[in-house]
Amino acid sequence: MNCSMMYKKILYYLSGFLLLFSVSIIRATTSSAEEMPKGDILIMYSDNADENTKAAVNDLVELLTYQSLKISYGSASWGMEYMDQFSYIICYDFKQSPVGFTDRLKQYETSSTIAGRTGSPHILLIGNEYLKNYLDHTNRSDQYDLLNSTVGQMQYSFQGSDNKTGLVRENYFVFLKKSSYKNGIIMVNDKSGYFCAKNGRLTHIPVADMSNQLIRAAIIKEISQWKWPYNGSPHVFAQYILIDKVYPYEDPGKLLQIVNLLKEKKTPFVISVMPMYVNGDYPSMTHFCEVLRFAQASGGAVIINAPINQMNRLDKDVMLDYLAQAMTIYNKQGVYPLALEVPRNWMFQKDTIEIMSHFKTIFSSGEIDSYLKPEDRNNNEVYKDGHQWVGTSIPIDDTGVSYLSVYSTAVPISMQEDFEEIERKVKVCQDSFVPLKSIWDVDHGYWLDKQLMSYKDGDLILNDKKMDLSFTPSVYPDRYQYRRNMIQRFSRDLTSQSRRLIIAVGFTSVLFLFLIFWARYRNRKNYFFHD
Amino acid sequence: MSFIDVLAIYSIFAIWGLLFLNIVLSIGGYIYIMGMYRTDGHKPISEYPMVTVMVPAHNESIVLRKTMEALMKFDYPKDRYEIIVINDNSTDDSAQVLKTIQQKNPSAKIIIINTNRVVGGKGKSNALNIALSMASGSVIAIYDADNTPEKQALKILVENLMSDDKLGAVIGKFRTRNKYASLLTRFVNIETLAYQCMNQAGRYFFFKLCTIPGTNYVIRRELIDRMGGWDVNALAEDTEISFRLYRMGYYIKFIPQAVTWEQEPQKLKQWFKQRTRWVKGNLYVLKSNFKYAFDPAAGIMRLDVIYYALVYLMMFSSLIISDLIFIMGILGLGHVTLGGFSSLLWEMAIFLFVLNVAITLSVERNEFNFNNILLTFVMLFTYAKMWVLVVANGIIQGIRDALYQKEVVWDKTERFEEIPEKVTKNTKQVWK
Repeated sequence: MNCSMMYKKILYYLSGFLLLFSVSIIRATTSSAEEMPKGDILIMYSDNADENTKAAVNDLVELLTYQSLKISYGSASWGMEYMDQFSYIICYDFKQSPVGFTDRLKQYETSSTIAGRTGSPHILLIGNEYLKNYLDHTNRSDQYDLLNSTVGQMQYSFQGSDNKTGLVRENYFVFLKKSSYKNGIIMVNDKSGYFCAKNGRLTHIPVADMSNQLIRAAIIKEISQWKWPYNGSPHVFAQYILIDKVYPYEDPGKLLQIVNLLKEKKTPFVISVMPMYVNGDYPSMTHFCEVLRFAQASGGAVIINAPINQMNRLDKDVMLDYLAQAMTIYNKQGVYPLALEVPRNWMFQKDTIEIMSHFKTIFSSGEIDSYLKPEDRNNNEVYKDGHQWVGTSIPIDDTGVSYLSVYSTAVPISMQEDFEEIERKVKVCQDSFVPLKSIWDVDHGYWLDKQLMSYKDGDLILNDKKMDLSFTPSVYPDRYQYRRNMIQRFSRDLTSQSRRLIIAVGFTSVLFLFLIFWARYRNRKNYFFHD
Repeated sequence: MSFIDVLAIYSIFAIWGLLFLNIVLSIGGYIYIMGMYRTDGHKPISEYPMVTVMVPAHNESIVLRKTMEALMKFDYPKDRYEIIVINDNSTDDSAQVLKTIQQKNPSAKIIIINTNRVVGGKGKSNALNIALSMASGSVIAIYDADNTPEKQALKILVENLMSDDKLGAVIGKFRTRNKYASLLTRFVNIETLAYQCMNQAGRYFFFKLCTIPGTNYVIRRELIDRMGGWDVNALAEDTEISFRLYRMGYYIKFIPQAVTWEQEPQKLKQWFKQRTRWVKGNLYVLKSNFKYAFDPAAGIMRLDVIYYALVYLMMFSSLIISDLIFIMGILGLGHVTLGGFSSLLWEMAIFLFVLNVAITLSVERNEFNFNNILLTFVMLFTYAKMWVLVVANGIIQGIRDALYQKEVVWDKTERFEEIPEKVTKNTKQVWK
């Protein structure tokens, strides 16, 4: 083979490789565009949105996930590419829009039903600045009123409830002049505007502050209505009374008192127990589980709280092992948790989504798992697992009772609250227009290492065996052998040790500060006295 | 409960246990020192005994002049003390420097012993034993060659020693002369105040227990004679002699008014060598005295043995374990899964550590300031970690020496020429 032939051969191989490489890149790019899910709603925010805006959008996504909606979300310049794949688009509190976005939105607004989209376009604009810009840009400046005031008074009535009022703040307020639908009132400078209004394909909510619980609840209710394709209101979901985060070492007497109260009032309830991993046969645990069995047989149901995550990089296998251990301990005592309660940010992380996928029913608590690092994502991936969601209620007043029936909500009751306060909350829940329901009325299921549970039509099947849910009292040994050594005693739960330590540290700190001040005082006093 | 949980429990309890032990000692030390500062430290006696001030020196010409000047300025009766300098196999011009000092001060009783490598160069204990053979005092005072004691120091120490027959030795306080020289010497300054002065004071307050610090102390001559001199195998001859004194039924007293200013290592390499020598020495003493921890006849000294064991074994291991757990957590190799375990435990420990040092600084003039508090915080993540390395190195070297039966060598700390410090109006005040 001569030299020129060799070079030619190398050139051919190189060209072939480059060709394959470019084809694979093109394919990858195309497939990523194709992979964009055709969800129910596309939510977009400004490209330069601050962390608060992103957090508000995350909150919105979370609350819409409870309604089993498939959401895609991201910045405006990212989302404008995918608009045509969605029939419902939310522009959340835009402060500015990328070049060409407004034209693109106008084009979307005026488009008819196209292939790949099931319905005509719906646009919801939350906030005022962008509505004004959009209408100005599309020659509809005469279709809105601008009120130059930063404060307004909001009045909103949830289904059948009294008007809830509160102050709202925006840079200024814009209201559509004409509307085919209107709900709620925002009074600005003695002029009456709406909380939500619809004109053609445009729907507008002037206030965007998701940290305000009244606005938060009202926005979710309006989005649910906006998304509802039929006349009338969307389905009504129930609320559940949830005795939250009950630890086995807490007073079983008080728990029994609460259970008896709910039993007497014929009110369904849920107890969320904290997981235990060892010493499941201790007398205190036996006693605790006896109360839980009584609750199970008296209209209450038990769910399990996820193990408290203390791993800087969460190991899902470890977490699942702990869950399996905890389930085994409770099951041995005749307690059958039906669902899993998790911190609210678990739905945004791949590993926690996988952990949750082991359970059919998920209760989301108001807590945040601080060890989880936020992942950049553009959709609520958890949607695909088809969970039955119970979100925490949005507390508009001090009772924490739910004013929303657009998704299932849990009204948390803490064991630390006074009994009178608990009684009051139960009463408010009973009187609420949102119906109370028992989670025994729905199907549940989970699978863990060696456990497969399904609950359907009143039968709880655990590992192919039907479980007895009637109450049987516990039998206690006369003298229980604790088998404790010193390390086990201390390791049982460092929480109580930590509390003692905090007290000791506090006391020592005060003493030290006193001693330091005294020494400084003495030093100053003797400063000029030398040998 | 996983293995990592057991380790976490051990380190939590070890660190918190030792932290609270130190807090208790600091409170005792605070009460003792504040009480002592109400007096001037003197206990006048009718007759001052003859004192031999012994200064072991090996290649110390840089610092000797300053030291000798300070020793000759003692307000102790001039005819009642002598200074013996053991110029121990020096290769620098120490002999010449000492000769000049001797010639310029004919009124002072200065004895210079120049040893060669046949009899000398075998460490501090050997040098002290040589000096002892020529000492005429009934009380022996020891000063390192880099010390500048304050003029009243010797008198205070001797007066206190003679005031109680059961006192075998009296020790003073040492301060850092070159604390502004480098960041390292600033750390050493804080360490000296917190973990040597305050700790000594606390142990003395509660148990009448002290450890001789190697310099700025006086001891009865007859006790040294009865012991057969200093143990030449001990690198920490001071700790060794303290244990022996307690076993003989005597005790040691700490007097904070007797102050000496000492030059501390300015560079990391010298500091590391010096501290490794201390660790090796203390571990040798611990090894040879550990049997007394369980011997009731050993008396109160048992507590000191246990204290050393706690510091060197428990603290060292718990710090290493806690660091390992931290690193494993970061790398995702293992996690503590104990209920209630949180970073608050470490944060509170750090807070208490800083507060504990702050209380020590507060009793000293010109030491309680923002810089030192900040340095204390920084110390925890730098100096304390270096201490772990020093102990690890000391243990490894100790094991290696034992395996290869290496002769104990006194690795002398290198001295530095000192640049005169910035004189601020607050520096070097003397306690009343």
